[in-house]
Amino acid sequence: MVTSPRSLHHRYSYDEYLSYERDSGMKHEYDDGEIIAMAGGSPRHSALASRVNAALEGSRRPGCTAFQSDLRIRVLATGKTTYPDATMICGPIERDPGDPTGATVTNPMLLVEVLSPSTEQEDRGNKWQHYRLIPSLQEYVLVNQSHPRVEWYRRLTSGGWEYHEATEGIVQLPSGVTLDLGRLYAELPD
Amino acid sequence: MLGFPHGYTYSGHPIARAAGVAALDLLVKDKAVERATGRPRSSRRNWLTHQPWTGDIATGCGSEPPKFNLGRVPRRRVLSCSEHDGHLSTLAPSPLLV
Repeated sequence: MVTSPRSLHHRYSYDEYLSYERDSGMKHEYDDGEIIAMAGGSPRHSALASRVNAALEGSRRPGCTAFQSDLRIRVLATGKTTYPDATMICGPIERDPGDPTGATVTNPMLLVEVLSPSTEQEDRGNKWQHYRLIPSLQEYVLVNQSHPRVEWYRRLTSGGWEYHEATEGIVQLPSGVTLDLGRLYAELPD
Repeated sequence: MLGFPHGYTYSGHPIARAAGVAALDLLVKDKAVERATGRPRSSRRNWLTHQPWTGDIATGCGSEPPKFNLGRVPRRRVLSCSEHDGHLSTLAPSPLLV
């Protein structure tokens, strides 16, 4: 019999994950029974994420709220739980019924991940596979850290996703969010 | 026949216990841990978690502190304490430090 290596690992329940994270005082993600410690961000990543958050706050539409990376998101369809670098929710916040603290939300309209070498594969692959199952999600934005490049997916009325990218100029997302690449990448720390 | 109950000279002795409690009080009062590590315990643990050479992290069994496997991994998983056994390169900090 062949046994998958993944099945050898201890599988945590969602409640155990919430409890562990509360006790450890640090941020972790939850994926298919595994608790994943979040990698520390570099000064460059932190500065870029800060500028993205400022852009979201500065261009959000009435009724929408921008959140930084402290907001925990849960994909109800799969249970995956993450801390995106930036989130926007339009309309009332829907909280995860599985988290009695009310700190986890389930209805982002826009999610942003600032790519880094250690997370890019996850952000483009596994995480995106989960995020696209969030019914409220309309836009998923990937911000490159090493050079000016912003990519985004937008949900079509057909249910599919349309891909765009920009390496200069001003990105105007359908949600109304504006990202000026010149300002995003000006004088970033190494 | 009634045995003669006794233990080691240091265990359970009121003077040894008082000395132990006094030593612990001093550690807290003088902030010995923070002074020794330069940062609070939670911050120290955070620092260890985010080092590039830190691999998976094993929760401590019972009241033990966590253990940090060494080596780069694509996803830094939190292992249960029983899963940790067998990993050869491990950093197991003193309970006072983490």
